Amino acid sequence: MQSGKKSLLFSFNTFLRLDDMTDKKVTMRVFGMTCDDCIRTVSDGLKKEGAEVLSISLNDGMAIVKIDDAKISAEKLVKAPVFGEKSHYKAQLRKVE
Amino acid sequence: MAHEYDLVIIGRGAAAFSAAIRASEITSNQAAIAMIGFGPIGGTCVNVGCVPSKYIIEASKVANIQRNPRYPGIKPSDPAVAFDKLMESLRGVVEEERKSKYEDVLKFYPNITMYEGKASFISRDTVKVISKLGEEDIKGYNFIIATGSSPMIPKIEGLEDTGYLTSDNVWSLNDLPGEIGILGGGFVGLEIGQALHRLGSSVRIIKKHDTIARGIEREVGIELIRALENDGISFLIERDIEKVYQRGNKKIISTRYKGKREEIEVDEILIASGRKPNLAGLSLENASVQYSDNGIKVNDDFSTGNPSIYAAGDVVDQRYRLETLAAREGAIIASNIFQHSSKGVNLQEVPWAIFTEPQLASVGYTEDEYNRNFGKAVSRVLPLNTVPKARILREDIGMFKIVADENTGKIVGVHVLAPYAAEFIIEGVIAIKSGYTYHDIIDNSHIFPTVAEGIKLTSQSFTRDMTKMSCCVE
Ligand SMILES: Cc1cc2nc3c(=O)[nH]c(=O)nc-3n(C[C@H](O)[C@H](O)[C@H](O)COP(=O)(O)OP(=O)(O)OC[C@H]3O[C@@H](n4cnc5c(N)ncnc54)[C@H](O)[C@@H]3O)c2cc1C
Repeated sequence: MQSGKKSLLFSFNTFLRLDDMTDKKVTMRVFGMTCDDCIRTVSDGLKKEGAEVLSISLNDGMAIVKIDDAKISAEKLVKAPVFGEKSHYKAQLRKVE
Repeated sequence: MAHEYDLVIIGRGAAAFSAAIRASEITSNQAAIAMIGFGPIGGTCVNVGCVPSKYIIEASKVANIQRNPRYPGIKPSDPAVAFDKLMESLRGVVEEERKSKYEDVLKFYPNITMYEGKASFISRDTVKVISKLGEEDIKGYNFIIATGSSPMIPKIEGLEDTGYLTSDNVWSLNDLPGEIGILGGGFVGLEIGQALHRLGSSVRIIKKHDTIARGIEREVGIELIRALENDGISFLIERDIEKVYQRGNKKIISTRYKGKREEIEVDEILIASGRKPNLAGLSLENASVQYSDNGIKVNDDFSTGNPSIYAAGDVVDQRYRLETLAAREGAIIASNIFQHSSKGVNLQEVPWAIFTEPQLASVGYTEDEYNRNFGKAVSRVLPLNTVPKARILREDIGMFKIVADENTGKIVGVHVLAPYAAEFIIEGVIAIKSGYTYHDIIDNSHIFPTVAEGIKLTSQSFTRDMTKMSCCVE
């Protein structure tokens, strides 16, 4: 009985903490973007993977996104179809916070 | 603060250029690439390797044909070789190739920055570049070590004082040495040795073993030695070199042969004892990159003990040291880094050649290797003079050897000593890569008369007695 209560509490806590913990800010270098259309394509591609795009800069090719690490890892994100072998765009991780 | 790059390439030879260009293509010229190196741009192949050696080999063939026209009715004559003119033209060709294939190419890649100097790791992601101008730190998100290899100089008493040539400096000769002693019998020594011999030097190859090198199909290697001896080169085998020294203007190679001292007097000594990876000064321990005297240890995707550091080309601890392999590895690494792929190279499918005449070209397993690893090889050897085109060429030293898996008949090794062998070994590459059997080779029409037909005839010999065949049996 006791233990049942405990486990409920435990999972609730875990859920809360994980929610905080799984949100990650990912900075990546995106190669191949030359115009606003490219930004849109890359942005759409990232959103499709469940990432929230915070900023993409044409100037230095840096993209900053927020991801739920439980749904997609930063390592997987840079291999998303928008950065795939046939795509014009490629990405490399620079920072995960 | 250190300069920062998406990719830092250490070296500027074939592997480095191939990696830099492929990385630029993949990233639409947006990857910031640093290329660090010293010495002539382009590295070994264009400056002191493939290009000058193949040039002098082709030139020496012309002299040889004049001396030995081979066909009755064509009068032989001694070629008047102006060696200095030939070498001047050789250096001109090297310069042209270096300019057109390396220096000029760089202008298409504004994303590549060249650094002159020697690189040395100071941490897992930073190198120090040391040059005459000073030192600067370069940080990389990814690294490719492509520092190549250099001639291995054996420790022989008196060698440094007596002086010697290697494949690095033989190209600056202007006078043809009258007598030359080649220490070691690797492919570099055989190629340069035959070329100098055909241009007029008296060439002696002094070595310990009766074969060419480890990993070569033994009977094909021995046949090559026979061909070179037939050409006029002397092989002094079973010699242990004790010391070398100068006597007057001659160089003396003092050897021990069958328990007795034997002195060989020459004008020049060429060292051809293999090559060693260029690792000195890289401070790889600072970057957690593992290595041995044989080179850098890599995983199948050419990454090292440090996942963001890769190695390509001659500096890698691998079986072959070839331009094509270096370039391929460079390109594959660029794709592994920027396309997140994990490609490798199957060395059993990589062909190599010795550009002597006849040429030795090979791909895949030797019979011994296959038996050792899989225990079930079957092979056929066809003498060159069984091939009609070889008889038309009046060439009779040479052979074809095909090694196949005994159970499946799949080709696993093709070893050829024949004119043009380097041009047609690709058939063996495709056969091995595609898993062809000797029946598949037989099913392909070959042009008659070609030397390449030997591959088909050897395949046929798995199923038929070739002595009973007419010339053009399918
Ligand atoms: C005589 C001869 C004939 C050959 N013929 C053939 C042939 O016919 N076909 C074939 O396929 N292959 C041939 N080869 C082999 C071929 O030349 C090599 O396999 C190939 O050049 C290797 O390329 P690489 O890029 O690995 O190294 P390299 O071309 O040697 O380049 C290495 C580079 O690294 C630089 N470097 C070294 N140390 C450092 C450091 N610490 N910091 C910065 N830079 C550094 C060097 O300056 C150089 O630029 C031949 C070789 C020789 C010697």
